[in-house]
Amino acid sequence: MAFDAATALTLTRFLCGFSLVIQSCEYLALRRSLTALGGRFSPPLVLTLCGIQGLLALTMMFFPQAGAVLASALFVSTLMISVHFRGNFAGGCDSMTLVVLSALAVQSWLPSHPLVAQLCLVYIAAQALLSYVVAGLAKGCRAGWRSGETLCDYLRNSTYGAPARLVRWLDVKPRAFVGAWTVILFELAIVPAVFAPKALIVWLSLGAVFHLANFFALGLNRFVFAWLATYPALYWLSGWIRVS
Amino acid sequence: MKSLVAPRYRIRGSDFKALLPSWLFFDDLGAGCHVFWRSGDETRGLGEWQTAFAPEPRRVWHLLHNPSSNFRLFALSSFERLLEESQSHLASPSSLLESENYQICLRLLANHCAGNARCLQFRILARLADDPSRGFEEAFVSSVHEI
Repeated sequence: MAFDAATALTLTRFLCGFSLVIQSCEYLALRRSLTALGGRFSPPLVLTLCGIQGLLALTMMFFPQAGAVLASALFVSTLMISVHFRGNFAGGCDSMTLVVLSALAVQSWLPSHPLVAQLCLVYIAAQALLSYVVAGLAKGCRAGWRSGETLCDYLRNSTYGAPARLVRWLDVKPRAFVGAWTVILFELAIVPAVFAPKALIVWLSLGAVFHLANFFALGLNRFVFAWLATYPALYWLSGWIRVS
Repeated sequence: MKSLVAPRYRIRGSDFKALLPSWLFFDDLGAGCHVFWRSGDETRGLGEWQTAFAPEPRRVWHLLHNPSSNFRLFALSSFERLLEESQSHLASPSSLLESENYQICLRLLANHCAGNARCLQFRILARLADDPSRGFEEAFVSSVHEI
């Protein structure tokens, strides 16, 4: 099966839907805390929205051609939930979910225009690419990151509750140095990888491992699925660049 | 002693910041804070400082369902915001007490940590300089609040 724009969009819908189902279930599990806390909108309204969002996301996963209203409703509900939490609940993960949903919504309104599908995939891929490159450059510009000190310090002192065994293992200078440069080089390596589809497959596999490692080190489970949802667009972009 | 009041929520431009991603992850040491709280009553006074929103041990299934950890990170980011806001309220500390952020942080502690306590105080430890050797220092101590 050729990895064309339609296949990439179908896979993106499935992965984004899966990510949203996880998010919705987490919000519903937090209903007591969220009701007590309040927010921009009334908590019962937001919890109902989370329930509806979960059902819509399931529909998008298994019926990718379900229509423009579905993707748009998911975009609006995700934005409303972010606004409810005064900007975001889970940091950059909410932004990436909105990036993917906005592109899916636009494409769903104009399904018969191949150029629109291509532009939407380019948008998702460009944002994913930027997310790695900007993060890699920002780290590479910091002396603390280049020496490995910041990585070690993050795991030792951060509020993310890194496993003690990992903190002890990285609390040795050469290991922290190698660990920090692995992260920086991995994040920057997406630029050359995107020009070679075979190299990109390796990079995307490492990317999945990278996000899983982030989950075990920092507990950021939502990031795993929010970023995986951008991988079909990245792979499609790589093939498109090669053909072009 | 200040009383806990309901936050007055109003939609602001900054609530839409998820639409403008920055993609800067873990680039500096400044991020992150540790929150401590203590509670008590009028007769016995306040007890010992306790860690608020302590991390839970990670489990494999948390990959698919990790609500409490995500809520913890959301709560701590609210305290980080409060810390940033406190810098702009240095001239009039009383206005900070009425700010939405402050009331949300108090509410988070009252609901998740303090239980049946009558009064509550919290403090925030953060990095005051981009220097790992200095570690976390006391950046903010609240008044004692009735809850």
